[in-house]
Amino acid sequence: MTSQEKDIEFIARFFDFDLSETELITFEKRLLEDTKFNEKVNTYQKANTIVNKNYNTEESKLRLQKWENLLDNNTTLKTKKTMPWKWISGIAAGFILLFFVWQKNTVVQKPDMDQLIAQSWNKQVGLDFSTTRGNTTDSLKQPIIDAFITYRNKDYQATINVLNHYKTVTRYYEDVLLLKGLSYYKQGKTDIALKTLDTLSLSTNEKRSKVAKWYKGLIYLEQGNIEQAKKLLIIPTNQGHEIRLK
Amino acid sequence: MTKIALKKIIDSAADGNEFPFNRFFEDTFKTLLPKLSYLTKSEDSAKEVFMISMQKFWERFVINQEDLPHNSTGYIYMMCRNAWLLEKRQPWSAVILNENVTQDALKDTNYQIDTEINQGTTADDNLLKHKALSIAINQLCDKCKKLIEAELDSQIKLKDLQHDMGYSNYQALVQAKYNCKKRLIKKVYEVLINLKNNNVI
Repeated sequence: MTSQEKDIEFIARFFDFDLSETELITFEKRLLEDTKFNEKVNTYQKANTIVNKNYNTEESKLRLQKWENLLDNNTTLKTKKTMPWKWISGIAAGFILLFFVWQKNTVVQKPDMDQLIAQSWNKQVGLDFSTTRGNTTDSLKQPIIDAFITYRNKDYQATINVLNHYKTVTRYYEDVLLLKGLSYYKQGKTDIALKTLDTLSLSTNEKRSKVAKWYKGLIYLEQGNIEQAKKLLIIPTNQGHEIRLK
Repeated sequence: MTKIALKKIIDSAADGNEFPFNRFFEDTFKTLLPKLSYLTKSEDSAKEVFMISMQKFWERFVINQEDLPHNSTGYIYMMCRNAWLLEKRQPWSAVILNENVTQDALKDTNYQIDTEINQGTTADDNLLKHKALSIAINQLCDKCKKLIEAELDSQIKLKDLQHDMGYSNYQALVQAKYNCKKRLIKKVYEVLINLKNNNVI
């Protein structure tokens, strides 16, 4: 079997969801590192979609619907915990005590939110060029380096322009998403910025995912959407503390 | 669940009685939900990934009668891991849009997502897909061509085809159709590669 045939078989097995744990790790690694393999997977995915779109039987559609109803009808039993009365009264007493302590502390130092947000942005989280370090430069790496520089120089349109033709699911694409997302935000395109960072937040790379969530949180906070911001960030209520990722 | 017990469920499904399989479906989902929720970070995504995997499970083990795995729950979980990787390659299927996203943002022409899979279909794109599919179907053997073309013709009943084409039972016909579809996918893939190499795409 030629290497070409081996690749097709490997890809076909992936689309059959037949890869083992080890094989899946190898597959994912090849997707990130081997652009030709990536293209083959994209083409196979296209072929798969073309055929399945045209040949999805009524029977299988009905079965899917039935399964969906089965899952929707599944109700999980929630057990209710009944708290003994002495616990309830103890907790109530605790709250009353806290209230009086709070009453005594008439001066509450609230943090300067604008200052906190500015400090958080200045940390430049995730913008340390780490993926592009090293002596070698190739056609994939160079645009990323250029984009980091233009971003640092606050030329946000130039950053977007440099990265606009960068192909997805290749090396450094996560840097592309980060830089584009932040550049869109700096240009006032908040919705697009959040969508872009949303994609990055789904990355399997935990660090990258956290960076995306950090910036999403800051954007929400800066836009005044405290509810959404609090889902991602720990926002301090007293002075002397920083904003942190949840 | 033992392999023998699962085989009985599969055989029952293949014979047209899907109730035991539906029960197996529900029980497996309940068992895997915590792991899948942890994997996908969302119960909705866990449900979606499980359904896609079970659809494939049905195709491979009920229709195509492949050898059953020893540990069905563990195997289905691995199928879900495969499915999740596939889902992640399609960015917008998993993105949860917040209430701030407006239709205007979606129409912004400065915003490009460079995924071949998710670009809006254009007339040229549809033409190309149709071309690739036609070429690929013509490259199939006569038996597969007939089965595939029958799928599109609502006048042709598969049961009638079973007798015409000499299949011993309906299950054998359905299995043959599944295998032909798999061959078609590979053919379409080869045609797309050739069209790309000849600079048609």
